[in-house]
Amino acid sequence: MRAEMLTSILSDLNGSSADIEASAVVSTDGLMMAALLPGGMDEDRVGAMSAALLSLGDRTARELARGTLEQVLIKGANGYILMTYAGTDAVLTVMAKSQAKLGLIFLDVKRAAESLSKVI
Amino acid sequence: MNPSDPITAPPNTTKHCAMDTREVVNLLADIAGQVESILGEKGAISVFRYAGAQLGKRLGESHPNGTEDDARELIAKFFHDKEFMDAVGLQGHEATLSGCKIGLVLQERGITAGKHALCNFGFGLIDGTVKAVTGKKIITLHVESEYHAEGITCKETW
Repeated sequence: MRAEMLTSILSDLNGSSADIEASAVVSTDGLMMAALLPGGMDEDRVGAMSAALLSLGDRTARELARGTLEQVLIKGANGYILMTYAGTDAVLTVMAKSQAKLGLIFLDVKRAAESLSKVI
Repeated sequence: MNPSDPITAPPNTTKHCAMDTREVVNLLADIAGQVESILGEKGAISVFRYAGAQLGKRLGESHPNGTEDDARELIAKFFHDKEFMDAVGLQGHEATLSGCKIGLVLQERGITAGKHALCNFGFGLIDGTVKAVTGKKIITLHVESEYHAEGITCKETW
């Protein structure tokens, strides 16, 4: 039931912009909770990477005196990967196209993270 | 001696012993501690769990289309052969790990067994082996640890 609710929120997020290609919500331990990922992408691997990157970002932000972590953004030639906390126990990972309007993506991701945290 | 010469043991000496299990576990805990100092606690847990699952897949590769009992036997043999545990009991969806050397070393360091990156490596190992043998996806979780004179007994479920 909860997994379906999480998937529904991810589905709404992916539908909110044509620039969002995939999304997943993962526990901070790296265990997959719900995902809408392209075929061929290993869910377990995405989960481990998301949790590790957010944890590394969290530690880096604090140790380098940047305060509480808000998000981790990775930019590659083919697009963006955005990670943010969904509550204290989960990570929302979103993949977007390279031409995506980041301002809109940030807003949609923030709203989705809030909805996910309420369900979790 | 030339600084570029390799360092070798003196002639006519034999190597008596490498590392015992406790030393190996201590070294692994040191490595995990350094990974954790960079990645953070949760980051280290996720990486070690994933690493355990990958090793589990390799462990189970030789027994495709097997049953859960086959997977359990493989896991129990692995832990026992490596001397990480004195005994592994498997019943239904529960595992009882008696005399866990990893838990003992963690206890000496003031760390609670069951939540450390090394413990999660073990949980991932169980997940990966069961997946490779049966094709079934499970998530192993820590239930409790009992501390007694003979050592530590950890209980896990999936």
